[in-house]
Amino acid sequence: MQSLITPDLKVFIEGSQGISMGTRDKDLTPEYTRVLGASVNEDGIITFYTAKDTSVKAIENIDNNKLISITLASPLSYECYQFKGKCITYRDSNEIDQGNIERYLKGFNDALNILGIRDGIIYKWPSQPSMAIEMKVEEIFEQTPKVGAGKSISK
Amino acid sequence: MMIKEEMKPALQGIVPSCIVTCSKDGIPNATYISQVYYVDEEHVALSHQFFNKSIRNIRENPKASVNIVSPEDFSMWKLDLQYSHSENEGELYDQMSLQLEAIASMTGMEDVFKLKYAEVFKIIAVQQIA
Repeated sequence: MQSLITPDLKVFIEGSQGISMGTRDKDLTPEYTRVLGASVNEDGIITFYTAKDTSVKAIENIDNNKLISITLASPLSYECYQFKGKCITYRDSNEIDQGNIERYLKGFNDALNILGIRDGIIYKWPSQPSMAIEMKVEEIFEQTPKVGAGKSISK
Repeated sequence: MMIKEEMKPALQGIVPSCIVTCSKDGIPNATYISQVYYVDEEHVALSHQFFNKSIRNIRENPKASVNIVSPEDFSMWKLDLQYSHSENEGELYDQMSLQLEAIASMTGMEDVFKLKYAEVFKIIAVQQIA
């Protein structure tokens, strides 16, 4: 099956964006989780990273129903996309994942510096130990702030 | 008391927040929003501009989860919320409109950011996550 992730979206996903994950439990109670970077493989599977300590409830939710929404927004241009789909698997982060997290944090820190945010402040966020969560994308929505935001761009 | 003093800088709209909601058929939705506004120690109001799917979800399933980030030191909290009511006039609406205008002017979004409703939520739980 053809990937929904275009080359431009892959660059965006692997860039220095603010990233958040949404999950929900069996009672439809939603859960916010901070994401620490993402990568896309040749099959269009997104792997994204979370701190283990802050994703306990999200992992319980994924075990319950596999449903994930992640939203990425550029802190500089406000370009924003939401990806909805299902978790394929999750695991403890390996060395490659750790490198991706470090690269993300540096890039995000640099982007925030441009906005006048104090250098190094984001390293306060817990990042270790971390999890790698793999997601198959089923639908993509553009959410850049403008009239018409929220439109599906994958169907 | 849900909102402590050290959390109030995170409610100034300087660092955008993310709201997670869930439709009645169980699909989670995550959207960035401009404002999580302090109402009182037990309530916050979210700016309803164009997060239409979030609003539809809240009408179907009145639960939400949002993060707030302090611009001073990037401390972060997660708030579990229950929808209470919407306001499109009055003191709260006017204050949020003014703050939204300030946020819009800082971000060059004056033509895009127009407050439709102040969506008021009761805070069910607070967790500091950074």
